[in-house]
Amino acid sequence: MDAERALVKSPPRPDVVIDDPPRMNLLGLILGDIMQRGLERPENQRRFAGLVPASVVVRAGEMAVTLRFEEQRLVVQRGAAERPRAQVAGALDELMALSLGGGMVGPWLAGRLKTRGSLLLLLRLRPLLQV
Amino acid sequence: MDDKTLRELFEPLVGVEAVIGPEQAAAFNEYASDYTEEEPRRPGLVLQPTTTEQVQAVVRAAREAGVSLTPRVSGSNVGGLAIPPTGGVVLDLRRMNRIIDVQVDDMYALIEPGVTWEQLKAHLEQADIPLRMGYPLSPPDTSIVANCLLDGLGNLSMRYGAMADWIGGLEVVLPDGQIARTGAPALSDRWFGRSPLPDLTGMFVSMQGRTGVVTKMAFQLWPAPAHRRRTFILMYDRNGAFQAMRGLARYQICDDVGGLSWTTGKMLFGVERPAERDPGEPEFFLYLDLSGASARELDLRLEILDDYLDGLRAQGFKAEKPLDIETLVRLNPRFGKLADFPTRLEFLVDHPGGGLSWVGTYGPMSRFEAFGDAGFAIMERYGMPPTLVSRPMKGAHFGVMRFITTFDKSSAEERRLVREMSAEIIDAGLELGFIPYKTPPWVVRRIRERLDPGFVELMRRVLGAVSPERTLSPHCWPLDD
Repeated sequence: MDAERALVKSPPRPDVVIDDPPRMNLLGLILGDIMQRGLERPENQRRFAGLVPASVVVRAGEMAVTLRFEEQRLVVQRGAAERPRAQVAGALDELMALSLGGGMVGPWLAGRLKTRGSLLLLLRLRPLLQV
Repeated sequence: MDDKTLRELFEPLVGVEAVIGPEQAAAFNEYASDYTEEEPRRPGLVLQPTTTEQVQAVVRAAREAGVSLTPRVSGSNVGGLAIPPTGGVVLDLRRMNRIIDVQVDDMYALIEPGVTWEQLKAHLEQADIPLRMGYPLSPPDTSIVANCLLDGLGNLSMRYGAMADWIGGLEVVLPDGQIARTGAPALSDRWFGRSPLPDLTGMFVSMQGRTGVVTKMAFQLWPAPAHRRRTFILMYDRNGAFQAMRGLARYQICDDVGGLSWTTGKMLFGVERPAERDPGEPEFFLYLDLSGASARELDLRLEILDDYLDGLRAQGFKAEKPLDIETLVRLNPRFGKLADFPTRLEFLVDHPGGGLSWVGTYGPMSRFEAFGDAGFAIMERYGMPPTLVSRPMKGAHFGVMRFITTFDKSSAEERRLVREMSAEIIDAGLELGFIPYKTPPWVVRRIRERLDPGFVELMRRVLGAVSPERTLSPHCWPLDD
């Protein structure tokens, strides 16, 4: 019964698709892998459904990737898309701290993390970026 | 000599269970090739002796019968050294794998040639011995003795030099079957070093088995500081990484400073053949090992590292903050492959194409930039990901530049391209004073015209005196054919 309920309540796990892996940068590969693992958790699958459709640009150091939240899949693309709904940028170690469970507000207030666009979207995205 | 005659000759010397013949096809065929583009050569027979006496008997019999013997252990050499001449006998030493003794106070382990990195590590850990060793990037099940005799390197080579420097003495079966000891054990009961007698150990280093079969070796171990840290620094410019390697080596705050080009990070994430670098992404990853007898000492070293990196940034080089390996592993378990040595890097040795080849050289660190430029340009021209592993050696008196290629072994065209590309990289390195190590026979043929004529003559005399019949590894060091 519990299993049936879980099936009803949890949408199918979205696929994580790395666009053109041989040309993807390290940031995209790291984020793709983190989100792949994150999306194994049912609660994140529900969160994912709430993010579709959207595109978010993540910048670390001099690397940039765009995360496209589409129906049943997340596409990771190299570079920054034009007019994303949200952007987050910071040093690689700041973003990694975020993925390891660090807070977003403190680094943001200190100027170590910079955001643009929908802050609400970024806050909803945060659990998916955490390991 | 046909297979049957070979078996009749050698089986009584080692026992039937220690012979692998063509009828055991799967096991037997593994001895015909290695990871590289080198063409396979079918052996005549494979022997797996377990004692020095058996090795002596085999060597004597082979000499009398005029049969070649090629020593090997795991067969992971990346240059065709362990592939025997066609029809020759392979002397597989993997069953001679005893750790005979560990002298904790004198810091060495006396081992047989089949002892592997993972085996000795487990032994030290289980016995709670506070000593450590340096590890190469080769798989955990490869031979310590082979890497030392081929003068390879490990993650303590920046501090302590190439691995032949770590030999404390040898027991060798000479090509006529006689046993000799070199180094300290020629006179002492302790195998403490190659000094101070005439250094005859050198006659068996980088000789690729031509001069004898080593049956025992003292392997020097090093103190294991209580506090250790492995950290990675992403550099956006490879020349900045080379400068950091030289600088940090002279600061003497690290046990190891190594560098990996951008392709390795992607290969770790399963990208088999990275196609191009995003202009915004780091070009080189420095990995650093630091240690201290106390937490305070380690902290001070880390503080000096931060100061050094600030100085590097002030010169215009872009470097991220150091990232601890523990953090990276928490972020992604794939990084665990770099957390603890020895390690098996599947992206090099277990990928679908199966091919792995390299140009490994030792040379002057002052010319890393020039060789890096040349090597990368050649690899890119051939459409190969520019994979480079480099490291200062022996306090930066020299360094290693190792250009690595993975490829599809089943493709004759790829094999041809890899060989052609490697030859170009070798030539570029020779022009800059870089010398290939673990030198494959085809590379010897390429470099022999450049070698000092006196050196070549001396090599001929040494090889002629020690092994006039050329019984052992006759395909190696081809100076005359």
